[in-house]
Parts: sequence; C-alpha cells; structure tokens
Amino acid sequence: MKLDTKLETDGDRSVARLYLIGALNSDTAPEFETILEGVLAKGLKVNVLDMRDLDYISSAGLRVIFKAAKQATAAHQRLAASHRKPHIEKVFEILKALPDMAVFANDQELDDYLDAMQARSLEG
Amino acid sequence: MKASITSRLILYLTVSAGTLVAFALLVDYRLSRTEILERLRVESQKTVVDVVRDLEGLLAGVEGNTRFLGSILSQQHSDEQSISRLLQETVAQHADIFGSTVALAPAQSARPRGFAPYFYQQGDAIAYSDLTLGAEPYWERSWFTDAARSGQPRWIEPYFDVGGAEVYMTTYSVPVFEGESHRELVAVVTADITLDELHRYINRLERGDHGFGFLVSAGGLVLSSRGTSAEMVPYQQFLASEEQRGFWQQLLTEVEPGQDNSRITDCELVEGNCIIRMTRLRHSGWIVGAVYSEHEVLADLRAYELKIFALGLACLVAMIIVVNLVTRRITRPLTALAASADQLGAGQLDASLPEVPGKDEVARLVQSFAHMKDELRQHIADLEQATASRSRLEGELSAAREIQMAMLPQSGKACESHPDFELWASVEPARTVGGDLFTFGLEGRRLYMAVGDVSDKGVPAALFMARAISHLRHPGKHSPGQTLAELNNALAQNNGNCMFVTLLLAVLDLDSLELTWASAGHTPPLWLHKGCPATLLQHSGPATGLAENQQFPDNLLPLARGDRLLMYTDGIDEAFNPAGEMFGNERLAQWLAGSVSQSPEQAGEDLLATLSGFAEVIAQSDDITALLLDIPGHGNARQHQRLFHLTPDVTDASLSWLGALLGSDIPAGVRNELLLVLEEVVTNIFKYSQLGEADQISVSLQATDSELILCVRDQGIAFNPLEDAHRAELGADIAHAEIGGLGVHLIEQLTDWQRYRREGSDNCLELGRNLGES
Repeated sequence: MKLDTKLETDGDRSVARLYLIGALNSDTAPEFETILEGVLAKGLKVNVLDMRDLDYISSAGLRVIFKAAKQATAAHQRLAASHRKPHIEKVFEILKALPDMAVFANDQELDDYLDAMQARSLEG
Repeated sequence: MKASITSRLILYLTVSAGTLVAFALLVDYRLSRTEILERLRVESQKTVVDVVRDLEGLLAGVEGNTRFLGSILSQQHSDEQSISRLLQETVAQHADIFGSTVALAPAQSARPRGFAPYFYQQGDAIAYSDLTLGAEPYWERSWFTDAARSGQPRWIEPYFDVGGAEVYMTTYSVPVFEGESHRELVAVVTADITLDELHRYINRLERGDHGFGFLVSAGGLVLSSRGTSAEMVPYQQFLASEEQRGFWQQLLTEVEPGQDNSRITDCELVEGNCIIRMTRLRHSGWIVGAVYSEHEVLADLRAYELKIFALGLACLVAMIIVVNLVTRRITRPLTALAASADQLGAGQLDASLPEVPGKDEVARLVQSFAHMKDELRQHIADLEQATASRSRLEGELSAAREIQMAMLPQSGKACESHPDFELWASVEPARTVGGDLFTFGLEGRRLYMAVGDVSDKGVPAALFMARAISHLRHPGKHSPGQTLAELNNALAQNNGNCMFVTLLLAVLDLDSLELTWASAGHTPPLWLHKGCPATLLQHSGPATGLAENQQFPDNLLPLARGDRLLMYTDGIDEAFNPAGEMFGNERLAQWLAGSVSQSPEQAGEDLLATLSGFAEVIAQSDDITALLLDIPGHGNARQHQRLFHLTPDVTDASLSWLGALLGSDIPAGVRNELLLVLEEVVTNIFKYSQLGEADQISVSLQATDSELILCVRDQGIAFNPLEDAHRAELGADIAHAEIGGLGVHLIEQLTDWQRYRREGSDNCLELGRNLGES
C-alpha cells in the first residue's frame, strides 16, 4: 500500500492540481503531508486534490487534508477535492468532512469552477 | 616394575643407607687419617730420639771413663804394670768399651818403641795386644796424633785397627799433659767402640723394606744400616749425583745438636718421596738420622683406606641384600593385593586375597579388602534381585497403564468427529499410571463430557480413578449436578484413605446448544467465543469422595456455533518452567485465542507441544489432561487468526493478511471498509497502547455467510476506544474543524456492532459487519 502523487500547475489560472494515486493511510499520510505543504507553499490560489486514482483513504489521510485546508484558508488559498470514488466519498460523508470544501465530481465541474473563479478575480 | 613401591623402596632405602654409611666411613677416615699420620710422625720421631739418646749415653759413658783414666794418669805417675791392670779392669767392667789403651808419649817411656798396652774384648775374655809391635810407631797413628796435636779429647774418624783388634772402630782419644803449664804430653788415653756396636744402634732406625738409619762422622764417613757390615764409606760413594751431594751437604751443615731436623723430599735414596729425620750428637758431633720411604710409612694408612673401602662396599652389598629382602617381605602381600584388586576391579569377585599374618597395616588392608569383597558380592546380589524386582514391577506397571488407558475412551487419546461437534481429548500421566481421567459419550442428543483429577499421583490415584470412571460411564438422565452427587456418595463410602477426585461434568444439548455443567472443586472450562477466550464463571461443589450428601449446582451457558470449549486439569495451568514460573490461566487463554484456526486435534497436539516447550527441561510433575470441544458453525463458517508484532509495518501486514482472507467473495465495498476499520484499530493500538515491537496483537476473523466478525486483541494499557477515544465533532467547517479524532467515527460507521471488553491483561475489541447490505 503506497501513495504516488503527480502535480500539475497552471500559473495562468493560478491552479495546482495534485493527483493522488494509491492509498492514503497512516503509512503514507506523513509523506503526503510534506508534499501537500510544498504544493500550498507555491502560493497558487486554487489547489485541487485529484482523487480519481485514490483507492483508499483512512482517518490519518483525512487528518492531513483537514490540516491543509485550515492552512489554505488562513493563506486565502483554496483546497478542493475532485473525482472521489464512491467509497472515498462515503468516508468523507461519514465524517461530515469539511462541508464548505469545494468538491468536484468531474472535470466539467472543476473547469466551470475555475472559470468562475477567474472571472471573479478579474472583476475583483 | 619400575614404578612399583617395592623397587622404589629398595632404591630409596639403599641409596639413603649407602649415603649414610659412606658419610660415616668418610668422617671416620678423615679422623683416623689424621690420627694415623700423627702416630707415624711421633713413632718415627721417637725412634730417632731414642736411638740418639742411647747413642749419647754410650758415647758419654765412653768419654767419661776415658777422661777418668786420663785424670788418674795426670795426677799420679803410674808404673806400666798398674797402667796395664787399670786398662784391663776398665775394659772388663765396661761392656760398651771395646778396647782401651794408654799410649805413653815416646819421651815418657824408657823403651825405644814406647809403651802402649791394648786390652780389648774378644768373646767373653779380655785380649791383650801390644801396640808397639805394629809396623809403624803408634805415636804416628791418627788416634794419637789427632789428640796430641789438638791437645783436646776427641773422637777419631773411624778406621780399621791394624795390629790391634783387627776390626773397624772409632776411638775416643784423651791427651794427658803434665807439668805446671800442662804442656808436656804424658800419654794419650783411648777407648774404642767398634763400628759393629754403632751399627747395632743405627740398625734400630730401620723401618720397612727401604727405610734405613745412618750416621755421618765429622769427616763425612757414612755408616748406614743398609750395609750388612759395619763399614763406613765416604758419603760421595753413597750419593750418586752431584745435586744430591750438594743437597745433603747443605742439609748436614744445618743440623745442630739437640735439634730434630726433618724434611720430606725426593732424595733418590728410596723410591718416591723420602722422609728425612736427623740430629747431631752432642758428644761426637756426628749426625744420626734416618731416611724413610713415605710410601712405606703411609702403608698403614693405605691399608686402612683399603680396609675402609672394603668395609663400605661390604656394608653396601649387605644393605642392598637386607633391604631387598625386608622390602620384598613387607611388600609381597601388597603386590599380591594389587593383583587381587585388579581382578576384583575386572569383576572377578572370586579372586583370592593374599594371606597376611599379623595385625599390621597391610594385614588390616587385606581384611578391609576381604570385607569390601564380601559387601560388594552381597550388594551385587541385592542389586540383581532389586533389578529383577524392579523390572517385574515395571512390567506390571506397564500392564497397569495399558489397563488404565483402556478404561478411557480410545485408550486415553481420543479424537471424535461428529456432524454436530468435534472433540479431542488426551491424558498424559506424569508417572506410568496416573490419577487424571476424561470420558465422554453421546446419549441421544446429549453429549456428556467429564474431566477429573484424583488427589495424588501414581498407583493409588490410578486405582481411585478407576472407581470414579466406572460411575461416570453411564451418567443416565440426571443433570450433571445430580450425577456428581451420586458419584460423590459412592466414592465417599469405604474411602478410608480420604482420596478425592475433582471433576467437571458437562452435558451439551446438541439441538439447543445449551451447556449444563457441574463442578466438584474443579477448574472451570475455558470458552472461546467469536475469537475471544473467557473463563466461565461457575458455582462449584466440593471435591468428590470426601463427604457424603453434598450439593453440586448446575451451571448453564448457551453456546453458539463456532464456539470452542476447553476442559482441563491443573497439570496444564500449573506446569512450571525452569525459571519457576507457572504456565498459568492467562497463557492458556492466550493460547486458546491463538488456536482458533486449528482443528481440535491440531490445537490439542499444539497445546501439548506448547506445554512441553514451556517446561523445557523440567520434568512433568503432574498428570496432564485436556478436552477440546468444537461446535462447528453452519455453512462455510471460517475462522482465522493471526498474531502480528507491533513493528512499524504492522498496519500493512495486518491489512495484507485481511485483504487476502476476504478475497473476492466479499463485495469490494465491504472489503475496503473492513480494511479501513482494521487500519484505524491497529493504528490506534500502535500509537497509543504503549507496547513495543516485541509485543504482539492478535487479529482474528470469523466469517459466516451472514456476518464477518473482526476481533483484535492487544495487551496494552486498558483502553476502550469506543468510549475513551477522542472524537472530533463532525460537520464543522474548515475554520472550526478539528484535526484528528476521526478514526472512531469510521469504526462505528463502517461496522454494524462493536463490543469492547477487558479480559485479564487483554483489550478485546470485537466488530461485527452484516453481509448483504452494502
């Protein structure tokens, strides 16, 4: 049980997209925490955790996400999740995890959200 | 033989005694040698001194008489007749004087040829000779002229008396003067001593074959005792080499009257060193001495040396013989005893011992040996008898064991498989026969089982056990408590020895799975339910056989399929290891929890192996009996259990194991959720139990068609995660969300029921998940 990550950044839209591949559990959580902190440290506005290839998440993994979400909010960044598999989603639901966290079921939702964000910042 | 006491004794004694004798002889020799040498020295000196003294006496006597004659002549003028008479008397009266004359000076006699009557000894008579009748006038003879010229009395050099006595002689001449100034020579008075006479004295100095005496006149003539005749020869004739002549001349001039000169040197006169002793006579100035051969003088000493050596040798030989005889006589019995002892050692107890008379140490030793031999023979006979008895007893015991085992179902090691139960039971007596028992039987749908332990072990226990088991064979329709009460009454009769038996009698209704059991002072059974072991609580009666009419309450417990029951005797929980620790109930419960995946037979054999491994070298002290009962679950109920060390990869390892167990039969969602639950539980234990890597947790899974039951046990601090764990409040937004405290929510949400209990030192968490719903 291990976790691989892949990061894509879109400087124009100020978006970081971190792909989680494998299992996020108590073994892999500490390393993931470092990676995620590194991603947030880039200062990009929107940070999306792409879970399309995440098979498994435990409370230790959620703890890391909770912690990162708090940091992001404090730094006026956003942490979002996308492409959660049903059982991952169930875990989130059970724990009523972060109701105000943006969650996208698919790429379309994500793109719409990002466009909206960009439009808002342009307006702003 | 080299190392034998005999030869060593002989050697040591001989060497010691020989050394002592040699030492004593040496000391004696040193002392004796000094003494002998001193004696020889004194003897030789005494001889010379004696001879010299006698010679001096002789010469003094002759001189005195002659002077006396001379003084008579000088005081009164005597006629020729009276002179002759006087001379005759003198010679007759003095044996030492050979001959004597009064020779008148030529002017004093009227006769033309003078007057010189000479009387001398011839045999016993006195002979007369007229010296005037000689060829030459007597006043020209040396004995006359020497004295006349010197005017002093003097000894004349020895000469041959021609015309007189016709012998070698020496003469003492005294000139007689007359007138106022005593210048007118009247006569010369002489006295003669024959050289024969002197030779006799000198002869006394002879010693040994070569030692000889000598006399040297003033003129250097030598009279030696070596010569057979009394003849004097010049010393030059006596000494061959110039060197010797010089040496002797030097020696002779040094000699003073009254001094005893001695010298040891190589003088060529005798072989080897010569001892020279000499002195000068006062009266004549002659030198008297002796030359001895040192070799001869020391002959005594050498003879003594030889004697000592021979004596020493003789002593040594005698000693060797005596020591040899004595030692052999003393050690002969010892040698014989050693040979006998060798035979005894080789097992020949009939070997004869040497006969030693007396009461010395050897005799006592032989007596002790004889005693030991008899004792040994007796002991061996006893031993043979005892061995025979023992092997007979062992044979009987072995038969007894077979008979006893035959009383037990399947000869003491039973394995029974039935559609409704699986049973395994075994008894291992600590001795050949023992007091533990088990039995079981099926009466209709009632399975009755009993495990018992008779007080004490061995044959008495075995016999009492036989009594007990015959009552248990057919318990009838009574409840276990009633059966025990009847058994108790039966055993208590005629039980003078107060033997007793603790018993556990259980009846399982195979339809209702209700277990009814009663205990007579026996340890309650262990129950393994859903992977978790528990010691059943029970009401117990007293041990059976001690007193009649006792109550044995029945205990009830509904069993479930998949349950396992262990009934055992104290030989199991009271087994000891070398450190003195007891196996104990907790170890047993832990073992039972670990046995969940094994069949009763495998588990039973594993239990015996575990006990044997625990006790290591400690011998089994009590009978061991165990009865395992399994009630199989319906369908494909499976039970799995595994121990994991709390290493950092414990989560990985346990999840892999569970993942593989769940396989593909279980819906993927349920599988993932159970894995998640296990991860949460194991992570919690790993983080918070305060256990180390050496500790283990037990994870078991019981799977039936309708339910999965996960049971996790750890020996950490008492902790009920369902109540004690921190729970994060759910539903908070990011700003208010707690970090952590999520695991217990997942555990509760993803399983259908949760149960925690603290069991001994174990935390036991059971989680159930129904199947059939996603």
